[in-house]
Amino acid sequence: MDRLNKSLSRREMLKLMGVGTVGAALGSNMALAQSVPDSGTFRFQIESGPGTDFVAVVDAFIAEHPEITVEFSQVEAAVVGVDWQRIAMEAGAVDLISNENPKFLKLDPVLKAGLIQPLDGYRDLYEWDDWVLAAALRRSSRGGQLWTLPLYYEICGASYRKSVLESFDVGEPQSWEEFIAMLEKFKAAGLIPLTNGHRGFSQIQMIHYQFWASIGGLSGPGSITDVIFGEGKFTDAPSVEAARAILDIYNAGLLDPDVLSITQDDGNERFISGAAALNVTGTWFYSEMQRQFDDDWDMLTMPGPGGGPIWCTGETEAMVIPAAAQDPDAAALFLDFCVKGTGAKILLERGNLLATKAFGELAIPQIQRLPIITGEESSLLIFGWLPQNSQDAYQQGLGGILAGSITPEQWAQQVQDAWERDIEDGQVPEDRSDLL
Amino acid sequence: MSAFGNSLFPRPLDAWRAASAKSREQWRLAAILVAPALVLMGVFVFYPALQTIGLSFYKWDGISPDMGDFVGFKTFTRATDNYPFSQAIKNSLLWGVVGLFVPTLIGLVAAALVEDTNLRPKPLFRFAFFVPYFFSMAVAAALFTRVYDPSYGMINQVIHALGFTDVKPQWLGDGRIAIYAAMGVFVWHETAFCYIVFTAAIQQIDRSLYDAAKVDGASEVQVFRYITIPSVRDVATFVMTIMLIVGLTPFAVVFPLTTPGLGGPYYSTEILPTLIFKKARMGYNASEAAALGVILLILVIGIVSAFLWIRERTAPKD
Repeated sequence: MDRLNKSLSRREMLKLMGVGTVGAALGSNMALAQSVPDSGTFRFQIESGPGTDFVAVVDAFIAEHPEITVEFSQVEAAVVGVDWQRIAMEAGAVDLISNENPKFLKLDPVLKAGLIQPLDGYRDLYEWDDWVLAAALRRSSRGGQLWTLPLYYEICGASYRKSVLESFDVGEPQSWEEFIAMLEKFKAAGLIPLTNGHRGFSQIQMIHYQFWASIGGLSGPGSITDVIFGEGKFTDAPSVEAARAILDIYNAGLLDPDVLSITQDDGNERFISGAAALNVTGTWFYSEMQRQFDDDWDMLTMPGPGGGPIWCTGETEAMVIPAAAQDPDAAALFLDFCVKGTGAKILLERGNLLATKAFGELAIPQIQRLPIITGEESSLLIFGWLPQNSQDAYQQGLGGILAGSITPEQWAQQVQDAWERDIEDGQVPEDRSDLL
Repeated sequence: MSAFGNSLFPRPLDAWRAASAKSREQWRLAAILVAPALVLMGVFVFYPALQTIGLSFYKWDGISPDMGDFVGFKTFTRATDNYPFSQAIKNSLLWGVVGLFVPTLIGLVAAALVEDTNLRPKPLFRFAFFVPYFFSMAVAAALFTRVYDPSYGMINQVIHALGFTDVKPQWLGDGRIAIYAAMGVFVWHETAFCYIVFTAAIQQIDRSLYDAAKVDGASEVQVFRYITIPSVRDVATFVMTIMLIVGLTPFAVVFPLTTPGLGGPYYSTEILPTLIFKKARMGYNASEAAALGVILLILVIGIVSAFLWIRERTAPKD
């Protein structure tokens, strides 16, 4: 009963403090006394994909914290629909839930709907600033408050077999010219130089991210960061040039000729079978490559015309504590367990790329070299930062360029129009400068 | 019949007062039988439809606890003033036309061939024509993603085996043919439905008509034209109406073929239901999704009504 009173009181306090509306929530200063709980129960729900790894994490947490009860459930998102998180939060059915990522497509709608509570008290209590990557915390904040905690990071690139590159006497390309020369060598040997699936979820956009990051640099005018968080436009030169570069390699036969018809899975099959030398994918494909090739694989980021290789990175599997949570303290303790406790170690050992610096030395070599671990600066992985209209225009349009339906310039204009419309509709915050 | 027909529903109270005890009993029975369906339709069809119509005039993201501002027809303007919408309308209408005629025609001809000719063994042909309907439309579409694979798919393998080694259509990747590839799945699946309904209808035709025609020296084409077609006219209207409705809303085909980049490549397979799904489920724009839903509702009701009106006007007087 004490716990019930406590949770009701907390919910009422949150309500009184205005967490129910985004305006009030952004303006409020959380003054709740968050503490490390000595007992409690929290209900944790996550999508079944990453949830598999969390079975072990939850077991380890219970072993270390027998005073806390965890009611853990996994959800098959493909079955229950895209808005399962919202429904669970609205119903007050969870204390901790994966909201996938801190981006405009995921975080802002639930924040706007007043469904989550800020995590700043826990951030201070558990000193997450010392552990979680600064960019991840910054991008997860709105109005100066932290609303979600990303546990995973993801990076896109082109996967390759080390032995294949060695057999062609090439290394990871450092310039556009080197990249093209490498693809030409693969083509001459009868391999598909670079495979990629556009049908369904388009991986062409990942080629575009990489070329764009390379051409636009980390934060200059027209860079990815400038367009998503600053004043830049999709019609600026770097974005358009990156789109044109994709068309160039496609027309030159250096990109899989079936790219428009095949899916990401088809591309993966072509790479695994050895038919393709490079495969556009990301860190989410690491465990499969490790399983298929032992250590004979790695991933590179593709340089665009006039630029060097720049990685694109993004946060994912971000956890939120709903405004209606009954035991947020216990949920936050579990979060901390995943940030710097045994949970982080387990997730890392299972090949996940984490947004935390903890246990970095345990990561596999392919991860050790990535900017998350090395501290090297990286560009933004755009996916998820574009709401539906913009994402649809972006993805459909890139296919349209290769199909000859539109030019890169027309594509850029269409994406820019959709982006401005999303801003106008409130799907993207007008002022995004604090996320820079 | 009149108690359940014209005299009852237009003015039920008058009819009730005027009805005999037996008619009242029939009326009660009718009400009891119809009530569950009416309640279910009310809860799951009419109420959501009305709610959707209402929602289309507000600006609501689909997640905020409070409904947004009343914006009138602005939602409709925003939902329709773009390229994906014009593509969706064009494609939806094309689907409607294909749905109306192609599976119906193939199904009718196939049923007539099997039932009205000496084709043997009939059970085998019946089974073969009906096989596609064993699968749901969505499963059929998922299967065809492999059939249409440019490198390993059955169709391109056949083309290759026939000696056309340079011909390699990108069935789902080429925006010029993707819509027709998707329609191919639809036709393959729905022809089975049309076939089985027409088979049942043809089997009901009085065989003495066929015998008489043959005695008079009618060819099989003439028998089909002058006996089979007129005899199944009402069934054809039913089948065509169903095909028109399904053809205007072929989400179950397009979704598995193109998800999650729904409607691609470059909007070439976009239809109104995919647009609605994207706005409502892949984004947070419930109001625009509702507006598109209303447009789809009007489109389907309008076109189906026009079709039925034309059928009525062109029906033989006898």
